[in-house]
Amino acid sequence: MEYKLRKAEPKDVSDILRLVKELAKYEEMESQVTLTEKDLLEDGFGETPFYHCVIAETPGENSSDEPNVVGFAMYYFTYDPWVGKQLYLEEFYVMDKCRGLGIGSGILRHLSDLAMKTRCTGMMFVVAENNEPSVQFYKRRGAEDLSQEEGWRLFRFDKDSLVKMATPAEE
Amino acid sequence: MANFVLRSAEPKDVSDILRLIKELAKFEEMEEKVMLTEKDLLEDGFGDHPFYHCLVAEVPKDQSTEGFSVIGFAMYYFTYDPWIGKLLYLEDFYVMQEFRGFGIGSQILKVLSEISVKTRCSSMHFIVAENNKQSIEFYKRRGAADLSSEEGWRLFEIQKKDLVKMTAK
Repeated sequence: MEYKLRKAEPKDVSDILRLVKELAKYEEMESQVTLTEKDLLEDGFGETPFYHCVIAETPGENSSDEPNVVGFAMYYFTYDPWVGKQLYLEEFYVMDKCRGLGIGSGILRHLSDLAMKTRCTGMMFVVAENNEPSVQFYKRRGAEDLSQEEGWRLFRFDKDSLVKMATPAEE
Repeated sequence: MANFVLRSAEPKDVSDILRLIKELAKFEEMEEKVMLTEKDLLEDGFGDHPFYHCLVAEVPKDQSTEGFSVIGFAMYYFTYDPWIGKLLYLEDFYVMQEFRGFGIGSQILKVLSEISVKTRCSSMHFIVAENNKQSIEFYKRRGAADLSSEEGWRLFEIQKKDLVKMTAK
């Protein structure tokens, strides 16, 4: 199938949100998506972008139709104090009906090019331990499970804990 | 003891930041893995687009060991969760051994919490080595949840050599 990869633009925020929700639905977590198109616009296309997106689109049915956005990858840059810049792959999804056509591999190749161009020393991401197909997809391409090899565990302070730790606001 | 001050790092702090990164790496028996230089830290942290931010803890010169007044630091940056938006990611967090137990670590965490709340982050994330019981307790006492345990997330990495392999295809 013919497909095109390009950098996301402000007009793409509704498709990005749609795909974020589709992937969340697949994980049975759709109700946890509280982000809005407005957030995505401000956070991705303002003065300091907090994320970047690559979009995969396929041609419309007829030549006059708009292309269809069928997949995306959301990423940002992180910093490893030993080796410097890393590309962090936050979200990566291709619609079911468009799987098996090389779009995922194409996106990963695009991100690898980008990582090299921006002088990153690696790409990091998390995978749910029970997601066998994804674990295999990444391991085939050389990914290592650092949680296994180095024993790292991901922790979180949620908003309530942060507020408790922060200085109380003046009364 | 411990009159100390917490402040945002400045370009002049890069040599202390590198020193503390190496000390923490040495504690993890990984000192030779630190490839970063002061030049990298300067370009990456204080250029047009900072890739990281640092808080440094400083004590008055007369209280310092071997003349160092910067005795602790936290390195952080902002990440993005596609369900809830901005997060603060705590990458490195270290206070020199002889300055532990005076509340410097707690204070650093407090300032980071304030930064998170001010910048409208929904939470703070960080990783901890599973065998680092002391740190795990330090964080759990303050309300941290082990997402690897609760949600089964595993951290993966594709290193440069494999990224290069993928670009060639």
